[in-house]
Amino acid sequence: MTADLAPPLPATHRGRGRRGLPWVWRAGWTLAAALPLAFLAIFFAWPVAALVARGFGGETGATFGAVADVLGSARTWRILRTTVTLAVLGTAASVALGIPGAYLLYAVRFPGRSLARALVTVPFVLPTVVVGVAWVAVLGPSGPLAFLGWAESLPAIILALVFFNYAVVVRTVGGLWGRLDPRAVQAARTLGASPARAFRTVTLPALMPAIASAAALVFLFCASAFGIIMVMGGVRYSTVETEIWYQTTQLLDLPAAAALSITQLVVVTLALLVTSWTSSRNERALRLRGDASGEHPWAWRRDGLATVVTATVGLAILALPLVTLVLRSLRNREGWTVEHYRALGTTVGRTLTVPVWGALRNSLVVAAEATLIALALGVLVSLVVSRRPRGAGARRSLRALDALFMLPLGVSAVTVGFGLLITLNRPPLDLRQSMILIPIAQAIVALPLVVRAILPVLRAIDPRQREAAATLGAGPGRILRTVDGPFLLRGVGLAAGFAMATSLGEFGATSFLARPDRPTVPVVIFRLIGRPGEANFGAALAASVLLALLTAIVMLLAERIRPAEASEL
Amino acid sequence: MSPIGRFAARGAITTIAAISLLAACSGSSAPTTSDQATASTTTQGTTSSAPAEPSRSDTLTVVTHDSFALSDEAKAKFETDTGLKVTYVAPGDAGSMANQLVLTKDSPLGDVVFGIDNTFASRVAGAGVLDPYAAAPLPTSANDLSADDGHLLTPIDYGDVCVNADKGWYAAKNLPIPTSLDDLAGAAYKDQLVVENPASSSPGLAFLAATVGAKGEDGYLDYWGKLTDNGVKIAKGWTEAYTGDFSGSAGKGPRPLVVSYATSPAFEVDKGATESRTVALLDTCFRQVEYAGVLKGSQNVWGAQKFIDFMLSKEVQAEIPEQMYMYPVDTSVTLPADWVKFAPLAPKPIAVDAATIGAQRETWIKDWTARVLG
Amino acid sequence: MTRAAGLSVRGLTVRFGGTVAVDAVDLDLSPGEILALLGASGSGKSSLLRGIAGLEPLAAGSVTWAGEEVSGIPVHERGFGVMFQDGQLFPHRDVGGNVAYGVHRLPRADRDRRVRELLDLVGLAGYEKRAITSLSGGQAQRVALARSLAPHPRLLLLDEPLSALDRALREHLVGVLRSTLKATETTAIYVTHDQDEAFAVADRVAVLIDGRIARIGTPSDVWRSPASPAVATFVGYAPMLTADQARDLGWPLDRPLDRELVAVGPDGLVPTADSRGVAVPVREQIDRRGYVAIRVTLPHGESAWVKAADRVVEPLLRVALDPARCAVVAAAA
Repeated sequence: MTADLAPPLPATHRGRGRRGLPWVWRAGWTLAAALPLAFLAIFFAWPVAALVARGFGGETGATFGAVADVLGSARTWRILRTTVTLAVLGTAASVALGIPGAYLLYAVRFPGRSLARALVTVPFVLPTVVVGVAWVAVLGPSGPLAFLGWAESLPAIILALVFFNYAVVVRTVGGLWGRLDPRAVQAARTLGASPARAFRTVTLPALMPAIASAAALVFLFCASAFGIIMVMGGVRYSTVETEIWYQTTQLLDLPAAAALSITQLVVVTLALLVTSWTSSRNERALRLRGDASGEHPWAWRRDGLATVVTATVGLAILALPLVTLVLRSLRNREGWTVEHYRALGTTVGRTLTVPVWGALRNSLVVAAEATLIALALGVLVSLVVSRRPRGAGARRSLRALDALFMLPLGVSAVTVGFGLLITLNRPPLDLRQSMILIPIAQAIVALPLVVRAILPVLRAIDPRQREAAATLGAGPGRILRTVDGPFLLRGVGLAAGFAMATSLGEFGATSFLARPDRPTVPVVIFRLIGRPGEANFGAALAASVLLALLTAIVMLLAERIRPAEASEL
Repeated sequence: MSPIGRFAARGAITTIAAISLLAACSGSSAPTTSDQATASTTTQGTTSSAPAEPSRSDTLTVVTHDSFALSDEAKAKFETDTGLKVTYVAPGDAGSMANQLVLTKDSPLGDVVFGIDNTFASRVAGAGVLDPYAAAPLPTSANDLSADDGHLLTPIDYGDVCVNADKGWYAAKNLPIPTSLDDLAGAAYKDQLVVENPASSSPGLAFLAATVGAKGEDGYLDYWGKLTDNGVKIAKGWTEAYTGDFSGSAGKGPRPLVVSYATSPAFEVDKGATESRTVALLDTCFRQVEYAGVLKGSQNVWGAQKFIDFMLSKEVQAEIPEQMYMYPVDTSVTLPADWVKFAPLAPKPIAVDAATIGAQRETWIKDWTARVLG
Repeated sequence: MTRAAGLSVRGLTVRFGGTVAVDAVDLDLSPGEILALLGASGSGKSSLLRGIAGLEPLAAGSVTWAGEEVSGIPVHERGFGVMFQDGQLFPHRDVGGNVAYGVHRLPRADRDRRVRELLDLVGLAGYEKRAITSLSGGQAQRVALARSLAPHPRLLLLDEPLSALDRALREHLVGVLRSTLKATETTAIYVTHDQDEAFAVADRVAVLIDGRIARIGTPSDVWRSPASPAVATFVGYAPMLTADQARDLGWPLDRPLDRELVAVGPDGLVPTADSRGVAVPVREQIDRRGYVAIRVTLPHGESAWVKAADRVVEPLLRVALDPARCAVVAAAA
């Protein structure tokens, strides 16, 4: 009956009889892997290696023995212990508190949810100097939590670490949670499992890839936390990161810095190995729904506990310092005022070279550039790492690639910054004074976040979707576009938000590379805080509030930009 | 192995090999960039008989610390007068900048540097980072501020690091404001002082040097012992100490005494007030001098020298107080009136010479850390 | 001279690590023929299917279509469609978008016509704009079928397409499947573990055991002469009786059994009143539609099912073999 309507066989039925991928595709995948690798090599691995190599030899005349001495000294081990303890405690607290938050903000529907999600991410972007001042204000003698007596103590540092990293856990875990198929839990419930048991035995295992991913990221952030320890750690708490800063920038003791960098690399590599192992065991293609129908409307009975926990965290840990910041920015010695906000249009006496609005423009431009670079490379890396080759050796090298791109998060910005000074010093790569180096440095830090945001979504695509598309005549390119593509787009929205947010608040690498006539907002805030006087301090607070507001807007937009249902026809 | 895995592995191995090679090349001394320049003869030192023609180009890169500031008019005038295109680079605070200069001496960050202070001067001078330049317009008042014999560093401005006190706090408590270092260790002033860690803070190091200068190498540790017993708080850096702990700042911290600059009280003047809320204790001051120098390996030595002359010119020296809150070395320049009122200089600051600081700094810090931080 | 039309598989072997999933299978299929691959889990039937489709690499062997070797051609150029057990519909497209996926190069009017035509064929006329998530299981599988047929595949491979559906739906859809495949004159290989499904949908049935084809033939051939005890058990004969056991239960003496077994079919054991029968204890009685299934224990200890019109009251039931409903199978070597 259909014979007369049957079109001629599509051209694809003409076989060509060759094996494997055509050379175009081989070249494409090689390039996709090589480009990000080259970027990482030139702007990260090479500077770090060069600086560490200097620590081992060169004109300072130091020998391997000097490095070995530092590695074996009691002080180094004490610092290492402090670093690991802080990182473990910070990670545990962030994950424990973040999981109920992820649930509430991603698996439950309620009005104002987008706003809540955006607000939760604001702490992530704030410059650490500002956060330190805000927390000191909260915990110090005249602050609302002064009764705890926690100023410059371990709990204070942990609180500040949770303040920063809560968003990472909530977004990473939540992104997966909202898309889980609810029928698995429903099946467990009908088998007599209580909600707690259903969560423990069905939902939690399904979330494990995201939790492991978030924990790895948070651990790296905590282990390499610099500003928080500097501001809130007082003189008692020294981590590997702050020690590297001290040895490199203040003492130029390169053997010591090299020894500590090696220690840092070892810790980070171990952490990455552990997470790689745990995530590979959990790797399976989850039945992800394309839409977000894993969500349900808010109901007190089932969501009450999560709501209480999240609200407490939100108010006590996230909102309190932010509110303190805003309130302080509206006061001066006499009382309430908006003069600090008006001062943003000026150079605040002569403290700045450009008004804060000018710095804002610089920040946005640099952030846009950094986001583009990070997204482009991050998409490539995610695409490569999410492939499922047959051989075990190939799978292992892809996992190694995945772990490799996480390294920049754990290595000190000082090491990279100083290393760039001695590597990019010859044409054609003498970029030390070029403005492009700042977005590049920021992109290096943002790249792991982009990969972490996009990769889980790509990994969760059932490989049989691709097979189905192939059997319908879709070549590798069409498969990428129509099967991976829609999922990729979802991940990109989140990734762009993270990249932009990281870049807006980045200070470590930028402080080395920025030009004084084109500062970014964090640099400006640091400058203002570094000057005595009410006007400078007030302007710093106002600028911080501005930065916080900007991030909230960026995150809100990133949530909206996600296309609803990508359709090709 | 599938094609993807193969290529990824191959790419990774090649990359690692390349990095190792490059690291080895950069780790060892790198050839100077000046080898590739066409006309470049750097002045070799004071021993040459006929001075060689200094190198010259159209661009000038000025390396400064991040507190450097000059008016736009002054910068524009310099560019028009010399016909140079000037780029300013500020890679960190004074200590960080000095260390970066030492690190990159084979391929310098710029042509001329401003902002090396006397605590780092001997390290920079001794590392062979600078070329000598005897600036002609150096006022005679600056002669006793020089850091070395070879004219490697030219003094441009100076300021004092002193203990600051919150007047209001002491008025409320009906206590006299302390005046000397010994007062600070007295029982009446227990738990009131906050000092920055000399290991990580420039004013902190300056204060430590002051105590060494005042109490001597044999006595300063005992003094610090007394301060510790008297409840001194050690902060990581100036911001934490001044904004976080000092009661006289906008941060409204708990302690009324902090190590800061002699110029800080000029910022704590309420609108319409005739006095500052804080005051600097002039007997506790340490003099900090800031220098400029020509970087060895520069492509534009002529321009660098011109810049140093420019910094010593009357116009710039007159600007320095308002722009950088430091005192110009040229004492013939008129200082702003309320500047003198609110930010007086110490008549007899404690001085320790730069060479001693350079030699002993690490020992002092180590001993201090052992004694104070335990 | 003329090339062999249709599918031709020679010596196809698929390995996973050290295990051989498909062991040197030979197969021939004429154009328009529907072959069912029947096998238990782990018998290698899915691997064989995927090997033919090009989704698994072949350790050895070749696949030929109309005389032309296709083993080297990548999946997307081979022209072999696949229908998966869970449908694998694309969640970001609607029904029409899914069905049209394989024919996206056609001009719009032709494309729309083809989509309409296929949706009509599977009984989902007018469903073009529906979202995938709004479909029931059966509807989704029908869309999957329509999608896989849209680009006129020269061979359609169906991998247990109805396993996830309930029985009534399955029985209905089997009919839909067969009529659709026949209407479009599509050559098809249908993989299943369900004997009834295989027999209902296929022109020929191949029984796969341990990676090898143990028996291939039309449904009635395979049923009447299973060729081995393993095949017989798989297609639904139970129990297997030795010659003595069979004679005890009334196997006619004029049908000698020489090293052969009697495979008892579903209706192979009947209640009887005459002397041929043997009284056996009744263990269990289950009501079915229109009859009662009674489980009895045979004299030598094995269980067997007997169909009766009504429930029996006595503890014993007289049963005998119905030779027409049994098969004779050579005993395994």
